[in-house]
Amino acid sequence: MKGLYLALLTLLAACGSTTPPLPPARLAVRDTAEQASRASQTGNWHAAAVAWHEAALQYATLDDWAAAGRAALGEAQALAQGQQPQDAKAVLAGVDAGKRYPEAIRAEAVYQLALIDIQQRDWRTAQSHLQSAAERLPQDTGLQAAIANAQGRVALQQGDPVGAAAWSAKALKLAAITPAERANAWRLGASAALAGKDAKAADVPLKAALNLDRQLARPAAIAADLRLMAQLAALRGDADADVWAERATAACQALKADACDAVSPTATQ
Amino acid sequence: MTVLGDNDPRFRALPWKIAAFVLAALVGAAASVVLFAWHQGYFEPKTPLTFVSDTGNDLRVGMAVKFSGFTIGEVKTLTLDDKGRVRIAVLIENRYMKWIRTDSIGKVGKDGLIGDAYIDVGIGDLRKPEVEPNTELEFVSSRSMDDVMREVRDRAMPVINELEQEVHFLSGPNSDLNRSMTNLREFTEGLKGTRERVDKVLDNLDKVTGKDVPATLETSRMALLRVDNVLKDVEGRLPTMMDHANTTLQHLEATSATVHKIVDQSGPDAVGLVREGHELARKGNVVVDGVERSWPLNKMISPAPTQAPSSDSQGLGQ
Repeated sequence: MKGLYLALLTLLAACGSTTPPLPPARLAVRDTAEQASRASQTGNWHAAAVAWHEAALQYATLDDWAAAGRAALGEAQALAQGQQPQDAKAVLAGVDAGKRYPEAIRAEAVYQLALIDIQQRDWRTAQSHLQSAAERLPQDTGLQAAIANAQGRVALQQGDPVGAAAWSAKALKLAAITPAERANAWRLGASAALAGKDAKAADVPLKAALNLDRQLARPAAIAADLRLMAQLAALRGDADADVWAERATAACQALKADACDAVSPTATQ
Repeated sequence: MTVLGDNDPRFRALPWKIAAFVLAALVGAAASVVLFAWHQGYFEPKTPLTFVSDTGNDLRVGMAVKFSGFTIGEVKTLTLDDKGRVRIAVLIENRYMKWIRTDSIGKVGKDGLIGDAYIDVGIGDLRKPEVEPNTELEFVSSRSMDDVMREVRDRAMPVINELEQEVHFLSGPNSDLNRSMTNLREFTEGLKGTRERVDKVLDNLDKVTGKDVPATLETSRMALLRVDNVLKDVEGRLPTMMDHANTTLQHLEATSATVHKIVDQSGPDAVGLVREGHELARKGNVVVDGVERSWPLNKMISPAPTQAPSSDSQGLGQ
């Protein structure tokens, strides 16, 4: 019996193929980055920040500054999500100032700085950072759509639904837009329309955003869509307005409280 | 239309050729199986033996029986006897029977911390007779990490308690050591005062007139008498103090030796287990990594991204 197993194992091994092994230092940094990524995905922000920091150092020892920069951006993201915006800003400022990082990474650091400014309701600085990032990034990058959406978010918060709709339209026109930012752009457009009490204009993009967010399985985005759907139904006087409201409330309650708070500024004007 | 004519010489006796080929393949396969079986020792004559153990933990039918690292047999059955003990029936290849003596003891061994368990048969006294078939041999259960730690604790705790008592004894206000030190201090202070007085007497000696001499000498005599008394007192107490200190030091020495003994006996086990655990975890990572990269698992497992995603413009996550 053991012989049979051995023969089968030999056959399987013969069929098998392995990718060439990575050098030990590469393996180590890959493990650290995967660990950081998993921590980010599960919302373990402190662990994620530590692991991204470690990954950035390890990439630096390999003279891989693009990867080191990306890891630093990951660290800043984790710090910002973990309610340490000042630390996040310090990391991002360091990346922006670091000439060793590729320009695209440095520009993305400025974009992330703008997001923290928005979180801190510092609209003027946010706009300035967004404009700078947009100028420094290539036009065909997906991040341009994200920047346009962020500009729309600022415009909406400043009571400019027309401007927000224009930013949404600009984001949707960009070819390199990612699915998540496409959903964001549709939601932004719907929010702008709702702010202008235009239920008809809000209907189609909002439904599209909800469908796409469901496909992408983005809980916080779905909660935001449902809140807007409840507003839309109430504005139109639909019979199922209370159902939408209940769905929105339940979805929001199922999320962590701080995630629900994050939804509110963009979901409602 | 036929491509090859039936009269082609290569087709002559074709059925016989096919039959011969199939037969050769079957014979080859059978020979391979027989060869494997022979290599695995299936044709080796074996002798049944029985180990009796208190527990069946880590034991299973089919596990290897090893002697000095060589596989010499396998476990055939595990049964409970009337007393609730585990009877481990094993088959040992006859060629290895000469190493197993009546005082050979079996125990569970492991390849690594969580590797395959096997029965390790210890070498017996070679002056003793070889075992007969179906002999019952002694079996000791292997010690787990828990057992090692429990033993360390059970043996170390009384020693630590004793040490604690010794420390209390030494540091207490009424301890012999403290009392001895107090006495010594008083004695030193006494000597100092006496010396001052003697110095004073000597300083004044040149001013002493004839009539003062007896009084001065009397004072000096008294001072020296007191010094003498103090020294006598110290002389009387010192041996007792030294005895106490000696006994205390002997206690501490014995305690220290016991601690050393415990650490020497249990330390290597515990340290070895921890080191083995680290090594095992490292090897496990390497193996898992290798398996993950091998077909077909590398097609099924998607690794976590190694780059942070771009931040969502609305702060809603990815």
